Amino acid sequence: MFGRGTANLFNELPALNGLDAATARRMLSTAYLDIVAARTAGERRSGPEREQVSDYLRRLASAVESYAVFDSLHGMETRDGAAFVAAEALALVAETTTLPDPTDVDPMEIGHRIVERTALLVEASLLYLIAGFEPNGATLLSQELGALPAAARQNADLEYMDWALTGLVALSRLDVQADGVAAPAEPSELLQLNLASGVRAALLQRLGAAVFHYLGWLRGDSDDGAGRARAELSSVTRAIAAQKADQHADIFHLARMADAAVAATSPRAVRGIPAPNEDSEAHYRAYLLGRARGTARTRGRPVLWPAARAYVVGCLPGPHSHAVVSVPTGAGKSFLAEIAVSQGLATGWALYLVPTNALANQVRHDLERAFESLDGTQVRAFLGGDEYTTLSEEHAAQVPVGTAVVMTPEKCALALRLAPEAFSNCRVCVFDECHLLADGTRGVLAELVVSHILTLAQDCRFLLMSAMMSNPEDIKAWIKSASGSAAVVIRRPWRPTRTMRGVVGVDGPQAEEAGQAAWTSLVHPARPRRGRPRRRMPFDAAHVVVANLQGPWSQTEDVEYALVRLPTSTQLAVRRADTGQAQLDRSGWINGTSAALTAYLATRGFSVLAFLPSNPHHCFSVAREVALPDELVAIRPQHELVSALMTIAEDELGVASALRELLDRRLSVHTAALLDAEKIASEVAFQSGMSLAMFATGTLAQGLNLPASVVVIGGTAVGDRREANTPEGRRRTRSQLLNALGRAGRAGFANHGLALVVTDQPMFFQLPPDTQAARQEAAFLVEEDDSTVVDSRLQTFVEAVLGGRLDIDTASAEELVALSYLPFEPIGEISAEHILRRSYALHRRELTRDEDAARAAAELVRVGQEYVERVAAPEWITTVAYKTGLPFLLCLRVNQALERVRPNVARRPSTVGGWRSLFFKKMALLPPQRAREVLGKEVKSSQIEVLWNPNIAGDNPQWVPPPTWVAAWEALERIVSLYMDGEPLAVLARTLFAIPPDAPVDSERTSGARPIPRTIRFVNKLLERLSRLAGALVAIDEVAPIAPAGEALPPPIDASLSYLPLALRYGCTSRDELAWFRFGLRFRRPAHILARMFPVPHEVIEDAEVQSWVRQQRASWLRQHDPELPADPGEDPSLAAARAVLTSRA
Amino acid sequence: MAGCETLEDLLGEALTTLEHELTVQITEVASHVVTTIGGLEADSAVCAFATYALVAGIGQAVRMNLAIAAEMLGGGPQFADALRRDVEQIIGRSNAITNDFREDQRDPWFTECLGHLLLNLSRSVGGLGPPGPVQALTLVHTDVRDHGMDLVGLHLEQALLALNVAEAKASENHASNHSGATARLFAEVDAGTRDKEIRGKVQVLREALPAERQALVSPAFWHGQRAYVAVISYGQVSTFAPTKRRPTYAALAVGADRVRLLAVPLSDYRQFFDTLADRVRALVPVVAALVGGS
Repeated sequence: MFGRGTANLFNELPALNGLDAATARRMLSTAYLDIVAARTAGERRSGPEREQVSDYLRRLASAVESYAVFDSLHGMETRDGAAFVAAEALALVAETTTLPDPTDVDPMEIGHRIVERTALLVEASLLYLIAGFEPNGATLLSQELGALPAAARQNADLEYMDWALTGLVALSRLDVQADGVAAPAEPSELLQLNLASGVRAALLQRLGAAVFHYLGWLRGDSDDGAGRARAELSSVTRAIAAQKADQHADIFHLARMADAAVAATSPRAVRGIPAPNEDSEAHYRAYLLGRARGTARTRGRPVLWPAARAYVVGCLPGPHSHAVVSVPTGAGKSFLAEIAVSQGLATGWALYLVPTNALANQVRHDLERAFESLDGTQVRAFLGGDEYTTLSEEHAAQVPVGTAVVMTPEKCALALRLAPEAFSNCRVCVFDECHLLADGTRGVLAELVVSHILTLAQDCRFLLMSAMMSNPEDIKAWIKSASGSAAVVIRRPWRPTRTMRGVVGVDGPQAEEAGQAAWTSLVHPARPRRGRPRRRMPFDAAHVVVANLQGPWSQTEDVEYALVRLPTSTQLAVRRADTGQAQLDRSGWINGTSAALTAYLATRGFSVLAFLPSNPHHCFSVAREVALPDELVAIRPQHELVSALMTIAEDELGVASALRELLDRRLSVHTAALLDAEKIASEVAFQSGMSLAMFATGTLAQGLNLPASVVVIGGTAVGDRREANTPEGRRRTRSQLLNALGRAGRAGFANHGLALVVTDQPMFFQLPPDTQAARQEAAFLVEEDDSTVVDSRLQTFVEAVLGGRLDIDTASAEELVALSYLPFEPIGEISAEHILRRSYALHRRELTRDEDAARAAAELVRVGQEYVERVAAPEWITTVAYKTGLPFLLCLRVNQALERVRPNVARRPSTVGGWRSLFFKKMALLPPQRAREVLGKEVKSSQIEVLWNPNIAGDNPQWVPPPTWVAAWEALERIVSLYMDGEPLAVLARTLFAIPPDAPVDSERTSGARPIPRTIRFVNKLLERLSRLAGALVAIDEVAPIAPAGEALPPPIDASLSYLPLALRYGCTSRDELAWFRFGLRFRRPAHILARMFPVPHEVIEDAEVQSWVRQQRASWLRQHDPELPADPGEDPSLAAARAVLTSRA
Repeated sequence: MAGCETLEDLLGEALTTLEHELTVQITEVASHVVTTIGGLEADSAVCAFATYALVAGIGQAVRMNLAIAAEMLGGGPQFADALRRDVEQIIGRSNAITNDFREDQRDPWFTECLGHLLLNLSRSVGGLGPPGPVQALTLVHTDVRDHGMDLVGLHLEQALLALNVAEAKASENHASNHSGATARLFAEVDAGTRDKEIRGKVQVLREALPAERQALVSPAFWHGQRAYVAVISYGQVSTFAPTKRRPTYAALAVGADRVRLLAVPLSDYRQFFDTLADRVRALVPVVAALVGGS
């Protein structure tokens, strides 16, 4: 249950006879397992008796709390480890307490029990604060605390304690928005009635005042609140201690704890972050206090978590140093990045790189909200792919000071090529999930992007962050050496949640017995059977969970594992083999077990994230098998945003969404076979509790904030089994599975999480369980989350270049990316040599770095020139390749095809549709080998399957395509036109897959062969690839304008070609549709409707002007509709839904 | 009493008297250790106990609270007024009180005082307390209906600090039931229900320890050594048999040697407490005068 960070805290425990760190971890884990067992009606079958565990926990809690808080006789220094262990132990003890049943006892008794229980929870929460785990304190106190009955309020002591606890609860939650309420009575008046009660009231009043002084200080109400709070608390404890007044021991105890909590948290107050420079002090302070307070839309962040604190200490103000941050999921990377960005905005702009567009969108929204109180800032996200376009709003052509720009490395690569000058003023570059550098597919480009920025932006400070990276020191050394600036490593394994790792197997003895009985009834049926004898007999195999009681499964001793029997089971079968022998039929083990566990745990109140990494379509089929109880489904909360998104999704699909039925049953699904609107609907439903479980593919684990209290990993094979045993396949598998494990535990909801791995083959566990076999089956369980070595993917390329082995004709995909990215000729002052010199790959060759960079660049020029000469390419084709990032030879072939089309073009097209037509004509002439490079994986459609016919091959630029080939490209153009014209996907599917007009379009997603998943893949994959190639058309047009001989070039206002790449990708036919999609709302069909309703005026020409016009028009459209009034019945439902989505995100 | 100039003198004199007057008889049974206390009804013992009850049971708490009130609020009532009011609230203005008050408030409170006294005396008289010298002890409750444990103390056992918890009960004719109630409270301590309260009490008791003993507090929580002391006053003619094996005590986790029953049989149960109350009331002006009030 304890990762490296928390496990180490146990090593700080005091030296007490018989207390050792390993046993303490084991006992705490066992206690958690007992709680899980109780909640699931399961039964722990190994390890110490529950009473023993409970006794150990209690002694541990009291002893280490005493050590952490009360043994510090000289001041209030705390001992983090002891406080953490005490908090964990007390919290687990507190989890077994419940609110009193109001029908059981008298109101006074209820009052006492409520106060005692709240005080216990406050005690544990304050310990978490002292230990630096304040999110856990808030989580612990997020449960129902109960209210004092009116009759109990007649007791002045009880009422006063209840009042003081309200303040302490606010302190424990660090709820800076809480305002103090008046004390129940004046202590001096009480004093006249009862001396002791009056004194208690006076002590509690001072304690309560101290709490609100401190909370007020955190939110900026005063500058001396923390000092005053400590002075007040000290006066309380001093007065009681001086008199040894044990009558008020409870107050003494709480006041000492509160004082220790204030002492521990105040140095981490957000308000203490230094301003980036003197000029910005006032408005930066306003931002910090705004963030500390939070708003209705953002959570208050009054104190820094450890990684952010380390960043502030090590890198601010400025930032003056680079930082490489390796912290677990959920450790506060986002806020750390926000602080870095906020600092950089004072003197320049900030770049925020994220791995996906979905994350870019999420980060954009988060930053917009965060910077509401930071005057003069602007947040922009450049979404989409890396298709080349000259539209100014698609890349960072000019970035004003105070702007935060969010995008993927691919989009950034484009921006670096298009407008490198914009980066000179980039002050901060955040690279989230920077282990992408080691990705087999995207790593080369990511490294080149970082190297390029290091080259262009001398004053830029990097913040590279990952939860997976095992070698941050290497990355630090690279950045430091490449930039010549200081760099720090922040490696804090701190995490606000703990995850217990378990393997799900079957109860060996039970399964043996059940299997034997099934075999007996198969071979000796009770009743004779007509016809062929049965060959298969099912039986239920009960589930057991074997969990490690330390953390990762690195121990081999039996004592470090516990076995819990669950009340769930999977149906296995015995089969009569051809030899007549019994054979176990394990089919359905992974999915059946995943479905059964997910359904059961969701029913028992856990939020369950089930990863099914082997096949994305299993998510739908397994979700289908899950039936939550009717009573849970009946109380499904409604969510307006989910409804609106599903309306948009179904309008886009043109058929009912298979997701809707699942959402209605309180289940979410997240796979690549979903539209964006469906993905967001699924996420929102799960985050809001509308869905109790989510089924997802392994890729979900990247970045999105969807933690759960239980993670079920259904199978340990990830993706394509053919790649499973390649180094890259193993790296990806381990990375995805570890990332999935990290999703268990949910700050604010559950401090502890459970990750259950369903192995590919069922394991038959006995006592003691064979954990060695489990470790072999799921080797990643042994590793810590941050086990990914981030190495250089560019290195192979560099070595090939330096070794004279680079051959453009046979270059790998990674080499082609590098070749396209690095300019053969200097662009401005930047050459390939500059970029390479700052690369991670060359950093590895430190001694010869500069020399190697020069040699590599020269070799690249030589190879490039030789190649250009050999293939007789125009020199400018290298520029096209550089701009588009496309392989050189592909650009050449595109241009050669274009040359063949050019004589047949009557005049230069002036509409998007015209350029599309020209594009497809050119595509039909592209040699088959290059065409397939563009098309990628085959689309199984009779209309276009000939495009993947291996019998049509070759790379001859002058080839004469057969009629079937030309017809296929024409068919593809028709289908693409439907998409660009705004037809629903079902219409595309009908054409793509020749579905008869009278037959319905199957809306199922349970298999990748179904029409809707195939169409979504077609749109997402094929159109993306075509749009990148359309970018080549744009780039060629820039250097060698496309027009019939003698025709005058159109005036500059004709930007129709520049729209083509995005129009293809996003499904738009006109500038207006595209404008509404890009700047209005990123839903295709509503964008088409709005473009018809609100066409962009002709006089609005420049891309920035178009953006501004659409945004104003959108605001005006949203204002026209008063949400209080009934909806217009004549309005298109998708438009109403789009409005609801926009409004909800405003 | 004559010649006493301070409360400490008065208390010292009372303790000396009681140390001489009280008799102790120890009996070990399977489930617990019984100490039967005699001699308490002697007139000098009643007087001395009344002094102890007023000074250690009420006066000490009043002085302590007044000192805190002065620091927190800048002042409070006069000591004499506060003492008189607390005495009246705890034992009544006279013996003309209801049976409920007598049985649920006054007599149990005196028994709690008695428990405090006996644990104090245990430093010099064997068999009156836990298996080791008491180092610190909480004060007597001024509200006997308080939900908390009656007394919490720390004692030394083989150089380690250990916890002792005392629970006092008074019943002329139903002491057996009340011994069951003490066992229930001790079982709550075993089960951890009282942990929070114990943590709080012990951390204040720590303040009364010398520095070298304070360092033993955290380890005391860890090794969890503890003893239970039941103090039961009852009518001598009742059927209560303190030396009978008690399954509820036997079920406690600490072992028979650590469950102590201080049995206080009274030949004239009602008269003893009435006389005691009268003596306490009569002592109020004396004590007030010693402190400086009127």
